[in-house]
Parts: sequence; C-alpha cells; structure tokens
Amino acid sequence: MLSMILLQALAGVSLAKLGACIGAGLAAVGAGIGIGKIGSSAMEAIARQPESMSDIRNNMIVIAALVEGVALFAVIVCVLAIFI
Amino acid sequence: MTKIKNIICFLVALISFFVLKEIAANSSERFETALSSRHNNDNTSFIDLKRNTPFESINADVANTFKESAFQVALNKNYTLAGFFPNYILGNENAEKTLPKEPKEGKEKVSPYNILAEHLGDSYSWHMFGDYFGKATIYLPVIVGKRWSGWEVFSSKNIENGATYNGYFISKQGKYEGKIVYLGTDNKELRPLDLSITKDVFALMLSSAILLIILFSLKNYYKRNPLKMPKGFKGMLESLSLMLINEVIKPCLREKYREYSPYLLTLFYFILTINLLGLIVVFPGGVNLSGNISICLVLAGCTLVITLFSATRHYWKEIFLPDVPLWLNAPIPIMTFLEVFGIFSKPFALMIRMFANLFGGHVIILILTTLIFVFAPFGLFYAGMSSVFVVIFSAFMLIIEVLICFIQAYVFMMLSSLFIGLTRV
Repeated sequence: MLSMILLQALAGVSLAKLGACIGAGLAAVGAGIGIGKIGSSAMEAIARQPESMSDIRNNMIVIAALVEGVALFAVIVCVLAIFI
Repeated sequence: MTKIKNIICFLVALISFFVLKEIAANSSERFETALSSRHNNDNTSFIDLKRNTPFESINADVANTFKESAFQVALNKNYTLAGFFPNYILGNENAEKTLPKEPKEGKEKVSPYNILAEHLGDSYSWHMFGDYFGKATIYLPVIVGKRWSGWEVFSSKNIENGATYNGYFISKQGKYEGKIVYLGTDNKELRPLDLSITKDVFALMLSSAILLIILFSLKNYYKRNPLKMPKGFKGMLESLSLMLINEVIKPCLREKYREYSPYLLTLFYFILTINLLGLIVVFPGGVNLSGNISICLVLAGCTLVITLFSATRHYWKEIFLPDVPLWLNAPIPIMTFLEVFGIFSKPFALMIRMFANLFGGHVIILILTTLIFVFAPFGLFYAGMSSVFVVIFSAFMLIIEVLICFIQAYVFMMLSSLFIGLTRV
C-alpha cells in the first residue's frame, strides 16, 4: 500500500514536494509543542508570583522567538527541497 | 429573560432557514412556470408579473428594456449571479453554471506565483503604484561593466519589457533569470559585473537615511539642551535605548558596555526600521528588505567579525585546548571541531532566524491576499466569502507581523550582545 502511494508520487508530482510538505507540518508540530510548554510554565510562574509578571513576560517572548527560529530552520530546508 | 429570548430568536431563524431551503428546493419548477407565463398573457400563475409596474407606466422604451425581472436575468442571462445562489435553488440540472469560468479575452489569468515573485524579489525598477492611480515607476540606474572593457551606466527604462540596450538585456529563463546578461561568443548568456542600484539597494539607502535623520536629530537635541528631558517621540527613543542598555547590554557585557553599545543599538534600530518599512505599503516602504537573505547575512557577519576581533586570549585557549579528557583532543581533535563549528553556527542561526521570520510573514500575507483571486472564477458567492475571511485573517496576521518586527530586532540584538559577552569572559 505504501509502495503504491510512493510510486504514484514519483510518477506524478514529485517526491520532493511530498517530503517538503510533511517536513513543514512536522516543524509546525514541534513549534507548537515547544511554545506551548513555554507558555504554560510562564502562566504557572505568573500565578505563583504576580508581581514578577513583566519579567516573566519578557523572558517568555525571547525564548519563544528562539524556539520559533528552530522551527523556521526546518521550513527553510523544506523550501530548499522543493526548489533545488 | 433576555437569554431565553435570544435562544428563541436563534431557533426561529434556524428553523426558518431550513424551511425556506426546502421551499426553494422544491419550487424551482414553480418559479420557471411563473416567469414564463408572463409572455403567455394569461393569469394562471400565482405570481403575476405583468402588472402595471412603475417602469411600464413611465416610458415604453424603459418598459421594454426592463421587461424581464432581475431574478430572471440573473438566472438565465447573467451567470455570475448564478454562482451566488447555491445549487439547490437552481436545481441540479443547472449545476454546471457554478463551475469556474475562463477569464474574458484580453485579461490574463492572475498568477499568485508572479505576484509573490514581484513583491519578494529584487528588480531593477521600483513600481510605486501599479495600475491603480496611474503608473508611477522609479527607473533606477543600472551600473554594469563587462570585464576589462569599462563601465556603463544607464537608466533601467532602456531594458524594460525585454528590450536590449547596448547588448544588455534581462534574461528570461535559465540560471540568470531576471538578471542582466549579455550575449558572449556562441550565444551563451554571460553575466557582467553588476553593481547597479536595484530596488533593494535603493530601499536600503532610503531606510538608512531615515534612520540617520531621526537619530541625528535626537543627538542634536541633546547637544542643545543637555539638561532637559526630551518629550514625545524623542522621549520614547531615549527611554527605549535606556531600557535596552540597562537590561540587555549591561548584564551581558559587564564593564565594557560603552564600547559595544553603539554597534548594538544601531543594530536594533536598523533592523526595526527595515522591518517596519517592509510592512508599510506606500512609497518609502513596501520593500521587504529583511526578507532578503543578503541583508541578514551581512548583519550576522558583522556580529561574527566583532566577536572574533574582541575575543580574549583565554577564549581562544578554551576553543583550541579545552579542559576535557585527553581522548577528546589527542588523535582527532573532536572538541576543537565542535567549538569552531559553534563559532560559525551561532551567527548562522541569527541570520536564518531573522530571514525566515520576516520572509515567511510576508509570504503568508501575500498568499492570503492572492487567495481571493484564486477563488474568483468560481463565482460571486465564493469570491465574496473568501474575501471576507481573507481580510479578517490578513488584518490579524499584519498585527502579529508588527509584534514580530519588534521581537526579531530585540532578539537579534540580545543574542549579539550575548555572543560578544561570551567571548570576553
């Protein structure tokens, strides 16, 4: 069954596009899990100590940008897979 | 009490929607006989359309042109509105009227790929308004030089639309698509040395000029009134800079923050200006400069050069002779490879992070906007619904883009100061 699908993909559009789409989807899943964990721990920390809310918020935004950078690495590689 | 009223109103609306749907589905035959009996002049239908309407009483010519009702015209003559009513009103035999239609002659099909390529790519002239308020294009100078034969400077108007000037033309396909080439021997396309002022270069100069004007006016304010606090926009710049220095730069570079904060603050304001100008649609902005990987490469390269040149002897010792067990260093220097790779991978990550965030944001917004054109041939209903959804979603994405502009500038600056601080440890 899987080999039939792969043969169709080779004959039709291309395997590169299939791989790129799956890769981008997995990158989105990874980014979602990572930023979700950051957000949840930030919420818990704010609930524990509301007066440090702005500190926690600044750090949360910075770390979210770093995690999202990693996910966008994967997106760039997928875009390269289509065009190269 | 009002909650129960709301629920009842909602249920009434829902039930009436389904009832009307059933009536419409079962009575298409009735509508056709009703409309066709106009011409038979007998009053057997329950809808009598041949009455003394105001149109007929005004003028015979007007009456002749408005002979058919709008509904009949919509269904039988004008098929665009046929896409507005879903299939169950038309009846199943008219379903092919709702399929996508070919564009009329003279208009070409809107291609999302071309729109994206024009917005996100580089070009030799800057289209300011497109076709809406009249064409306004800035034709930027082209500075090319064939090797060992002198430079030529001419306006890019000369090579617009595929024309050739002095042997130079814009290549249509192949390796150098979209760039200026000239034909060498045996008709091969050769690329000359190209230092022309393209759209990105011109936008870079413009945004640098804007940044310099703003920041130098702040500096002159301080020179003129050294003891007064600035208000308004200048006050915002001052408090932003102070916040960045005290909370980001000073913790990373403990003693030597005064040497490096000019570079770091310039980096922050420059990236912020470039990102925000990419979001504005009209003239000084509209060019997605930070979505061009060369700009991100140069900025990350500046950070790399500064980290390499400000590293202390202790830092180089840590890289080449780290304090690890012998077998990680002796036959094959694994740790050295890893550390050297780490020196280059950190600015590389800076570059890719900023490029991907800004490029991807613009791609999303542009694709959403061209989605309307993708759905347009399907009829008025689908085009209308998709444009409502697209406008709401792209407004939301643009607001998030502004936040991302700030965050990317802040993260770039913070990580640069962190890397410089790590080398001086």
